[in-house]
Amino acid sequence: MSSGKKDGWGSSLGVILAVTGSAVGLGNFLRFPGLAAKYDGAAFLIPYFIALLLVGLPIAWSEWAMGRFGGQRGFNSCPGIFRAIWKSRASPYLGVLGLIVPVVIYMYYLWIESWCLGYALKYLTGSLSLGSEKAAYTDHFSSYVGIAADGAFFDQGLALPVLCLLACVALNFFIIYRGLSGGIEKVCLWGMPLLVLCALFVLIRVLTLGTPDPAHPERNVVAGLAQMWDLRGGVPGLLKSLANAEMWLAAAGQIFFSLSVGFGVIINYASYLKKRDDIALSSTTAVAGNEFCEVSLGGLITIPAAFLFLGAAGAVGGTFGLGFQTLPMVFDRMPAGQLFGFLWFFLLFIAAVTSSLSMLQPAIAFFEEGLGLGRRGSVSLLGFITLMGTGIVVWFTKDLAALDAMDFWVGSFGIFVLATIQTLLYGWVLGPKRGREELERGALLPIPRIFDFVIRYVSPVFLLTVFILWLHQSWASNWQAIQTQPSVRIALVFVLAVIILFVLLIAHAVRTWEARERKTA
Amino acid sequence: MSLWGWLILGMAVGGTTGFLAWCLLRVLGNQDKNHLHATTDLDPRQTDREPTD
Repeated sequence: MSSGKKDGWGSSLGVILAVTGSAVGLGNFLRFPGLAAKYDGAAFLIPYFIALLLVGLPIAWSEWAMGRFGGQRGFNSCPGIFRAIWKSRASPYLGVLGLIVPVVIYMYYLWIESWCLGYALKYLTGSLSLGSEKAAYTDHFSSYVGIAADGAFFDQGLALPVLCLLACVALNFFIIYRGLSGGIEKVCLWGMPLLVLCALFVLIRVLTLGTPDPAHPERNVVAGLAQMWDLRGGVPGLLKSLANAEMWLAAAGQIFFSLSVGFGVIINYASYLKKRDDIALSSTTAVAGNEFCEVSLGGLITIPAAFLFLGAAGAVGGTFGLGFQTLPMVFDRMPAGQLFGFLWFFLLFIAAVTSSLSMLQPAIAFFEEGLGLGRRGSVSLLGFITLMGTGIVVWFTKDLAALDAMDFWVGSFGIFVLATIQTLLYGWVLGPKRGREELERGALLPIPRIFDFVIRYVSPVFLLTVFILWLHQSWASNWQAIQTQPSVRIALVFVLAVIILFVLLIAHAVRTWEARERKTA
Repeated sequence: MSLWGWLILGMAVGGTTGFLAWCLLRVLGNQDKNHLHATTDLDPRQTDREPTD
């Protein structure tokens, strides 16, 4: 139970945009189109939307319900909320994941956010026109992040990359210090519409390019759209694609990571709602907002734009390859590319800021209610912890080893575990009856009855199946990285140290809560 | 692009855009009825009390 003045949201639209802002990130504009292009375009959408209905939407509803349930009992942090739901000595310690996952992801996500800012500024000053060779853009990205050797990022001195990183650190902590309604909500109320506006400008530019290179008449807008949306090989091709288990895994993973479920953020944000606030429509709207940005904006911009200038071979790639190497080359060839390049990276920067802010709030809430710290103390303590983590990520830059290690073990593995715990807590501890009561109080949208069955049985099974398959697929290479790369070990030892620190802090918080409960009993 | 492609594009993009628009209209239409952030959570003993003269 916390004491003192409670933070809270200022408007229903504010909380919806804050949750949407948390979910919308680089994955919406880069990862989703990249995966769709890789897995036969339109065929990818079938497992994608099935995963949305079976995992994404049900877990989002359950997280909102558990968050408000805990908030009504005076808790805003994951350990406190888990303890309110499950009267077990273990429950607050399971909640450590709800703190670790967002805090550790923030440590490397902040750096990626600074790349977006740096690239946007480079477009503004016209210094990212590197010619028509892809190697020039790859080399530029490599030297920007210092991929060649550990410590190379700082070899640049106080240049743009380092300054952008420092600016992002300052910006995030300035906003988070201003609180929920005065900081996060205000940024999202302005930032999310601005993000959509920037994306619409870029979208209109891409869709009106026609056939930009007369020497390649086959590279036109319709063919670019087909690259992303058409059924390759017709219905027989679709059936063949659907038999690809890897595509189902990728689609489920994309839905899962894109919606920010299992992140510890939604449960924290929802805890600040009031008893009779709607959560059914708000959570559904936040999911719809994320899907709009991913499917309607990301799906229409990225791959068609890359195809128009680089052909089918250029319209593939992972998040960093597509975003920071391929697309800059596309903007270089595009009419008014400097302006649209700026708009693109600026919208990615906004998407990253609204996400990174959300990663700080769960730990801030814990420090406030568990340790009795004020806003300034909480922000300072979290600033110290996260700066050390970010320092490790930006020092061990060789092949982005530290970033990849944290992303795998916390940003993927940790999220799966936390989401599974949350789903089981909702379905089997809080139970469908109490859960539905929470969801339906003040609801402006009916939640289908089948949800109770899906969240209790289907979501955990689906989640565990995807988790095991994913682990089977990626375990070996990541385990090998631990054995062979000292930088990976250092990064993971640091993560372990942060986990131990948070467990000790939770133990202290539990003693405080118990003492307070004895006093009021 | 084949007819299938246009159909899928229309359904996916139209569906997600329409779904968001529908949700937002409901949110904005219910702003006044929404309990969220009205003032505070009212005490049921007060709200449920019969008016007295």
